[in-house]
Amino acid sequence: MSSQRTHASGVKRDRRGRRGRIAAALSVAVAVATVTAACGSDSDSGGGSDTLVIAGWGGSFTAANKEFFYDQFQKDTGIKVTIATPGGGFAAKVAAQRAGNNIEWDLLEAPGGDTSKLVLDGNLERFPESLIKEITPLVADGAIRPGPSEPYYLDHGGTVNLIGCNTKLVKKCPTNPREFWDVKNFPGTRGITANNPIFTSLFALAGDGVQPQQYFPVDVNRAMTALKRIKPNVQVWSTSPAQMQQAVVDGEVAIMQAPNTVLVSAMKQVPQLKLHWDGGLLFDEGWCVTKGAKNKEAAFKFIKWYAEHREAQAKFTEKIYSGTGGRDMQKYLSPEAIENLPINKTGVTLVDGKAGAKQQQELGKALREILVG
Amino acid sequence: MLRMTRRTRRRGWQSTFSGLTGLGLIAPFLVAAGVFIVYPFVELLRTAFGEPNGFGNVGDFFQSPAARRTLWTTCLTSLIVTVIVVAAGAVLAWSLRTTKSRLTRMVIALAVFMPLWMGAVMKIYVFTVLLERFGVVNRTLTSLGVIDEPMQLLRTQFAVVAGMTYQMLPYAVLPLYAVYVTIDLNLIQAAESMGASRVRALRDVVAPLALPGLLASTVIVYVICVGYYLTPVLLGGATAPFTASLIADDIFNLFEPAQAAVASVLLLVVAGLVILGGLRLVGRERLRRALG
Repeated sequence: MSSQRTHASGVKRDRRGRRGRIAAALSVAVAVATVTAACGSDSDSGGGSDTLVIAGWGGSFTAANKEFFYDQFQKDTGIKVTIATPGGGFAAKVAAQRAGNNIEWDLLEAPGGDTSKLVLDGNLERFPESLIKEITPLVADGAIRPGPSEPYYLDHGGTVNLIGCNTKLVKKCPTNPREFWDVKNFPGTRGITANNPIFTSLFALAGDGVQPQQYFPVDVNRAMTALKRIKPNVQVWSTSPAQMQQAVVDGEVAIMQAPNTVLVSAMKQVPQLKLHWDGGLLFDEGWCVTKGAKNKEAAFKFIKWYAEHREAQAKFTEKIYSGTGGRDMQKYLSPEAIENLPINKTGVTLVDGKAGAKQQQELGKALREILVG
Repeated sequence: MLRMTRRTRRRGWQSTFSGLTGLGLIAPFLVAAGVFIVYPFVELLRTAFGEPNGFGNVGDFFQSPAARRTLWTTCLTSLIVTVIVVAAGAVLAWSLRTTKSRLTRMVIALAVFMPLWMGAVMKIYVFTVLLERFGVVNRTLTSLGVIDEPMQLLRTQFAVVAGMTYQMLPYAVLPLYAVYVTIDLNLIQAAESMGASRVRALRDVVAPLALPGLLASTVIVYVICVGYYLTPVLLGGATAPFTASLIADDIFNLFEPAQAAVASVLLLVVAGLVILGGLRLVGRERLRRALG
């Protein structure tokens, strides 16, 4: 009996000892599993084509894209659309993601002046031949860009950075960049968009009297000297469209240089806001698929869906007066929307994106020295 | 039988684990520390002192007036916030400790701990609403006739200091309150009965006892402050960023990982020096006692 009890308790203790070892082994396993999960693995990369991550500007532009494209695309295809709003700096952010081997975004929502830089750096997926064949009859001639040999993005957006002026806050409005720089004759709190150094530098050159045909190569010193001159009169250097929109609506700035989408949207709350297109800068941009995107099939599917939905494109343009890549869009648009399309405005310059992309980093560093230094 | 007893004793409950079991239990921590602390730190140093100029990257950093100014703004603003937060925290924690009114205690506790329950963006947005050109503060001052024109409050260093102070207050009050509860309040009465004024009793009796808590609060607040990112960006604007913004800019706009890494190392050095300074002031003996 006694030996039986001893045997039983021995077995129990033996089990306890084994349990201790198992617990220790489990701890190691949990640690390894946690680390593996944290580092990510191929099987858990969020891959497949049931998700689409779109990086956008935020503010009214992304809101309109969501309203007319993303929500309907999600309903039609069952692909879940997730929106990230880095608000700018797409080229460097994609480069950083690629360097870290962690591509977070599948589709880029018209990344403005960064579009050419993305092409130049080889950070975009080339459109597949099958997609080009399918969408060519549906999109305007030349809408697949930058050219037939380099099909990297589909025209969308075409945002212009132009001058806005709140007539409730100032009596006299500057109507072009030179007058914007003339703080003596056109007094008022100013705001300048600073989320893309090319936009900001070219605006400064225009303010200093440089003609559009002489913008490139950018005279960095001249641009920065002009910015330094106006800096004491600038209350807001906006780093995202939403930030500028808030500053305009709150009356923090009376005179501003901002994307047309931001200003058109702000006009609903500030009806006294007047737009001046002279000296406006138009960037060639569009839907881009990030190189190595986890859900690139879903991204290309979206581009096809977009091309097929010209009514939705028209509604988008009617809402924020921003261009789209559809063929024969004049059939779908009201005369008022056609008149207000940035590309149809006099005094607007289409910026050479490739030339800008070559100086983007140099301009970015110089602009930071002016803003912070 | 004797052998059996020895064996079962070996396998039975022991107050100390065997080396292997101990290693197994500590393994998750070691692996996590290795992956999340040691590896990133080594990578950070490798990037900071690697391409393009090795240790010369530090020189490149200091050649930029923008980088120098940003580092200075970070250190100075953090210092201002720390002084305000620790001073206010000392008073609030003392009120919390000594008040007999339940209502007062509840109000102070709510005011102090509320920032901990709110998201960072919400806290910052509150300040945006308060400080914008036609916001609550400007409208109140204008209607009272204190100012004729709205003042520029948003996108200033004042806005950053105000926003950070509000967010950091709990981090000063909590350690100070923890120290204050260990102080016997009868000591103050004893000092007063010996002829000391209330101020002198606080200075000569309470302050020395609270010193470790004060230093701990100072170190915690300052070290957290130097790493601030969102508040300076949203309340300070593009012209007065903190070093964390510069790091983000280097990575995400200029794609200069070496400069971002150098800035990160400098922030770590600043934080390290403050911690070392704090430990030195507390003294080795007090620290040993505190750690048991």
